[in-house]
Amino acid sequence: MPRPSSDRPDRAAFEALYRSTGSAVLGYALRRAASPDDAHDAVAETYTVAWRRRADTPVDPDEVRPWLFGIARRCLADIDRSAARATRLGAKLADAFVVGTIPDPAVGEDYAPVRAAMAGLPDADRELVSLVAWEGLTPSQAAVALGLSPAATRVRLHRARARLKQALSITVVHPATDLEEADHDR
Amino acid sequence: MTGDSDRELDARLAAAAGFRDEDLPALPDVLLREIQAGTTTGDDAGRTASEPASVLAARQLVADAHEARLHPVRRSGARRLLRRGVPLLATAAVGVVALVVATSGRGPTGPGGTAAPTPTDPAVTTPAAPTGPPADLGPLEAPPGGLALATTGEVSFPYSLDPEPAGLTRVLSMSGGLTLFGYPEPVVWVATYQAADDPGFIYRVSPGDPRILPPGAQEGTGAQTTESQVAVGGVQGDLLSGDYDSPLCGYAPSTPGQSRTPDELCAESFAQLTWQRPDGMWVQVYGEDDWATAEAVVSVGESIVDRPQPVPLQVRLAPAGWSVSSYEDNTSLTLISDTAPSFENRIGASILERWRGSTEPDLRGYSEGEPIEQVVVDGRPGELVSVPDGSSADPDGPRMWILEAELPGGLVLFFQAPGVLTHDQVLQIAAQVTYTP
Repeated sequence: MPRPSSDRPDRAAFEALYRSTGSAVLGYALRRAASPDDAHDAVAETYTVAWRRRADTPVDPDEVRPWLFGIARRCLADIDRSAARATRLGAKLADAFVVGTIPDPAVGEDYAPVRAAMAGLPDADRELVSLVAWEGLTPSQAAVALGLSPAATRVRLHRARARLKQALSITVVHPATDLEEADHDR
Repeated sequence: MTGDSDRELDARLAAAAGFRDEDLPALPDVLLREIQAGTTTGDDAGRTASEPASVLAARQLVADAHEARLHPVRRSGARRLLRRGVPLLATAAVGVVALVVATSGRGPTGPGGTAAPTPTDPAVTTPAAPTGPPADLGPLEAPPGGLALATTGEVSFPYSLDPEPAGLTRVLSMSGGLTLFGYPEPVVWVATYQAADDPGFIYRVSPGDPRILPPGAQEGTGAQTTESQVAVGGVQGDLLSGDYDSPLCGYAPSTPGQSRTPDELCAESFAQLTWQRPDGMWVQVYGEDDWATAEAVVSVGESIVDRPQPVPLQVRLAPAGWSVSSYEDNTSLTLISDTAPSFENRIGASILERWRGSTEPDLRGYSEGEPIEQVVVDGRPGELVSVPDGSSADPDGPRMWILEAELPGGLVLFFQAPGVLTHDQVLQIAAQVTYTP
């Protein structure tokens, strides 16, 4: 059930959230969107949803970014589904940036092998790996974003990384340490 | 402790990130201001940079309703669009409204034997409701410098299915009609039929071939598809079918009065049938899963009849010369001036969804520090506030009204209107909003 309105974080709190997480959410979207336009749309939509659902903002600061990433993930999926979306706020956001300051996710093929290997992972595993590797979340935080249990997340992360190593032909020198890695978030 | 292989993997993953968040610019204040003003986005939200808060907020509410469905007018994965340059217009644009005019003799023969709308003449209303104007309307004459009020006709969706499929929830929408970014957005009527466990189908009717992409769009890659031709209603239709690369999931159909968040509804396959009717209108049926067969989409297509049906949300009173110009997902609609359509003067009415937390009128998030008045709308409690219109930086500039009021069944009406209307006129119009799911 929603909390009473009086419990909602105030504007200042949301503003602080916006300022402290903006670049992270933008980066998250840019790394996953098909184009900067889509990323801008997703960022605008993410904070729109976050504002509407501000009563649900996690109390624990460590859970705020995962919560936002979870919203952004859904927004990106919606944008991908609905195809021809072009939101006004997304366009305004794009216009507000100085030309050249926003990287195009479609550019930069140097890392194509890694991206290709990640593409071979199931969607949830790919998202899990990238949340940890790119967004700097701990496995427990990634669990929040993905709606998984921390224990299940650690197991999935371990397996996904193992698959990535195999796909990238990375020699496993110390197999045993993989298991230790799975525990490093405890 | 990690091993060499982990370090190498971490390094390669980090490189694949492409850039560091620290190198990205901060998000601009303009986005924050608009979001907090309630002038939010959604999948539509307007595409002009100068829309007032009244318009934007109305768009947001429509977008909210759209989001609830999460099955927008989808193209198959094979037709996924990638935008380039100027943002293009969604064909199911929610808040982009069309000027509503009375049906005339112009254009090819359309639904119900009336003049079919064209991109520049998107007629959508039917004649005035047969039951006559509602009682107790209050004064209708214009105050000095203001607008007179008048009753409106019943808003209808021009098509029906015969027979109606059993067990599916029907959602009706209409959008389009304006030229933005140099592209005349076609008027599109969309009906969605889904159930909690059935992604169902969508049919859409438009004056143009929906497969012709608007400027600035290109086809992306996606699902593996097959193409063929099939007969539908005595003409040849183009069938495109296939499986999604991965399941497409969204909210199952919902009602504004339900308290529980809708479950997820996923689809794995699709079939899209497109053809042109003898009257020139284009029809597209898009079925998923059980409806993703040639037989199913042909059956749906051949059951479409030109029989208008009323939409659930109606506004029976409006400024004289204004009409309902768009509606979305059964729960929102927009009024606009027939003679002077603009983004600056619109009225928006939406039914808020209980499962999103809207259980009672509460304007504290919209008041901008302005006093909230407790009002009575058609005998039920509500809140009303006048706030600066977000389109102007001048504190003494245009204002807008925001109202929330209870509706029968515990629902909440969200209503926005330009400041040119008087306090009492806002209450008058809001009192004539009806919702009949």
